[in-house]
Amino acid sequence: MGIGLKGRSLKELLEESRELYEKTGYYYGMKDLKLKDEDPFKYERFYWRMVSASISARETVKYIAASPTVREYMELIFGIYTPEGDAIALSTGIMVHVHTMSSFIKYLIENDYENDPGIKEGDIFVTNETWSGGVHTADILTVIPIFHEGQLIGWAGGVTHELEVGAHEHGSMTIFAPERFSEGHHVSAEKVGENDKFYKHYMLRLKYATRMPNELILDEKARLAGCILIREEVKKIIEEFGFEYYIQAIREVIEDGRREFISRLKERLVPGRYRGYVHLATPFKDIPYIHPIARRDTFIHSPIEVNIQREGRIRLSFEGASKWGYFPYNCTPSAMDGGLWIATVQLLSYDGKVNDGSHLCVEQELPRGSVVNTDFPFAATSITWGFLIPAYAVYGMLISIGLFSRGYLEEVFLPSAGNSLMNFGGVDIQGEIGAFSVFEMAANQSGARAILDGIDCGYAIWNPEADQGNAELYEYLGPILWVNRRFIPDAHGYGMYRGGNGWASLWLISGALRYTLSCYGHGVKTGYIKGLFGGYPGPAWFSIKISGLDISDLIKEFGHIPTSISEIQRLYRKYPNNVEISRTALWADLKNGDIVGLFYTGGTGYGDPLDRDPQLVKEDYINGVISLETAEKVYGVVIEREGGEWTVNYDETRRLREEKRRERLDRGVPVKNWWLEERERILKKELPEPIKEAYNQSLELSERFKEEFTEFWNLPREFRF
Amino acid sequence: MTRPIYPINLIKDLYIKRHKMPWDTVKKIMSSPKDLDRFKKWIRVLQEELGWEEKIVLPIHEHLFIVNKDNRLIVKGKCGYEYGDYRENWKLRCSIYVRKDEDSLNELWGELLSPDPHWTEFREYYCPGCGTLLDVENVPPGYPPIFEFLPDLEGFYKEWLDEEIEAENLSFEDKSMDLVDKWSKELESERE
Repeated sequence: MGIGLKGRSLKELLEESRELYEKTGYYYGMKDLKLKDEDPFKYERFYWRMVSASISARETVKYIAASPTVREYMELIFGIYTPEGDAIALSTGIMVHVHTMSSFIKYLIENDYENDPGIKEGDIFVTNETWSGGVHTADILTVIPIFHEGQLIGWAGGVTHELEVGAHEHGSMTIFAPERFSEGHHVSAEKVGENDKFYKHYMLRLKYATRMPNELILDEKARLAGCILIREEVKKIIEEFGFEYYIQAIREVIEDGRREFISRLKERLVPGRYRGYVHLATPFKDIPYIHPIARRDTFIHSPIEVNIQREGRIRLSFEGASKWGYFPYNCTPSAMDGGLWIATVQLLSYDGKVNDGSHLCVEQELPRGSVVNTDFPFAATSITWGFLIPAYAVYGMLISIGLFSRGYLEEVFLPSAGNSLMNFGGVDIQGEIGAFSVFEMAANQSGARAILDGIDCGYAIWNPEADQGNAELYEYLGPILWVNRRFIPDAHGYGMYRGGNGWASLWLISGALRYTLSCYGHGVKTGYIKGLFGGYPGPAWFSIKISGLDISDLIKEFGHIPTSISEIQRLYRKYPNNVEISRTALWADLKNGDIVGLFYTGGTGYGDPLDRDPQLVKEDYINGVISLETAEKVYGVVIEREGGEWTVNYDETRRLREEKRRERLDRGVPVKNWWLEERERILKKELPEPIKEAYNQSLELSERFKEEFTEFWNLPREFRF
Repeated sequence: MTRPIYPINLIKDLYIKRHKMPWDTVKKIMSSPKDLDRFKKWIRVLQEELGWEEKIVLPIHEHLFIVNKDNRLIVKGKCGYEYGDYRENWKLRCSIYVRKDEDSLNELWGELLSPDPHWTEFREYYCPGCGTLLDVENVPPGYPPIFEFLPDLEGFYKEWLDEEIEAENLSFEDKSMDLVDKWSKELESERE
């Protein structure tokens, strides 16, 4: 006797659901949307009651959780699921998890948790494993079953992002973990309580799992409270609408979501093949404290192919991705699902019924053994986002090509906010232990649009409620003081519409007993991902560490604490032994009086910079976003001061732009000539070592990559670097 | 759901005026359900603006359009430059400049923000007809030029728009390698 509907097991129900979809092409075989057709108002009321139950749980949890990541940055989401684990309705929030909690519930079902350890009303299940629905260690998922008259009729679930995960590095996402054993707190698809109460031993485990146990425990309790709120609300909904209605409606809502997605796709895009490329450099060979197995320079890369199929489905392929590695940027299918959904809900499914119906219309080809689907059971995945953020920003850019082709210029958007991560941790002079990842990167810069510039400081692909948060809250958590947050001139992807401009934060270490940082960011060595239609990528990344200089002497010299980039560069020239400008990741000890800084790279550009409205260039100059030199050199705009006002010299601008176009043609060569020259370079294998290694991995792992690469360069099929 | 119908001038403004349009208007277009005749009006606007005899079949880039020329679908630049079969990566017919050393990369953002030539190169593709910058790829050396968009025009017109489309080169297949094969053959014959 199973715990599912009509005494069936959850496994049987899951199999039946899959068979029905396969056989009929409709979710749960729902060819007709009976309830929707009979009384659409009642049906919509039902759906939105479910959504509002999720939103209400989320809003409550936001205020009762403890981590700034949840309270300040709204890193949370709640949802309601069918007995088989398909998402019916989700709250607002981190839409990463459209499908991840679903994967977790399905993991519980497929692995027969129904019989061992058993599933009953009041049980609590938690995971943060990427092999059971998770996206990375810091995102912790809680699900609880919902019963009605002794039958399991659904699940409530919630996710929060934690401040600290107890890794060998401080903070919520380790930059250097070579394997899962050094990425901190793991909860491996476990039953962690019953009767709505956590087991005592689980609470004890949490107490010693991380450096910030209060935040972890209170967030855990808040998530459970959110799930219980949903469960009780669902019971009220069943009371109001009737049980039969509920069971039919949850299936119809998902099928409805599927149909809405197909029509949206056909309305907005053009069928065909879209291609992009993602890369991430991890030059870790010279990092002083890194694990020996991870001490190497690695180039992680993958082609991205998006096929928009005639029947209204999306098929993504990462065929050609390089191999998994001893770094925490490895991904799994559930992490890749998370990445896919953050971009999809922003560009296509931002309204209507966002649920697992939409998920039925997308499919991802993730080569086993590659960085997008690691086959090493102990691979580190604590910062899957290192790969996911640029990968799905490229996917968003490709979707934007389709939107452009259809004429929806107002929808074209490059979701390309690169991220930088600063982990701080240690002990302050009062003996307080503290560790966290600074989450101000929740308000980075977006890429450009077809009609507007990118957002300068207010976008994150992974969080729809971009917010830098209160600096004071972090200053309370550790011995750091913000001395500056400032835009860096020219730090964006140039274009007819430019990407949002990059900025940097500077912190003064004050009141520390023992303190460390680790940091890394998108754009290391390569610049960020490419722009669209002639727009440039965002620039390359850097961090700053100033040590051994007396702050009061600096104040005397500069009149204030030096904070602008030109002041830092001046310091660097004067005190080269005290100022470190790092272009790769950093893991360092800190002392009181040290100043450290982190750059958040700019968004990608759209269109030829020489087509930019000169007035926008002038405004950027006045606002300190670009230099005069860039105005002329990149944008071909001549700005002059006339009677105290800055104006555009249009005649000179026209002349300069014509000259620049001519210069381009003078220095450019036909692609065929370039091909001939490059081919020689490849035959001589004159490529940097990490690049050659990445190509060799792709050539080993993918027949298609091998075929296309060797065919394009006219190489023997068995060519290797 | 009520679908709006916009006057053609509004679609033209979106294309021509862009950021100069009142934000309230743009926001309203963004937040409303989409106008179902957008594509037709979009093509009409482009056709009028560019003043070409050939019918525009699909815009694929700010500067590039698939047009029907004598029953063959080719890519044509805004300046009139013709790139060839739309199923071939148009980049292969561009003029290219590659920033692959410190000096040329430093020109972009200065030393502090500059990418490292040991890890990447910046390829700038220019329109041979007018020098417009069409694409910037930051890829490692050796990565083949990215063919960003190969539309399935038959599927789009016949199945999604329910409209006829006729041309002798409609089949949905990547023809880029035909051009590369030609280069390879030329290379081999030069050697012989």
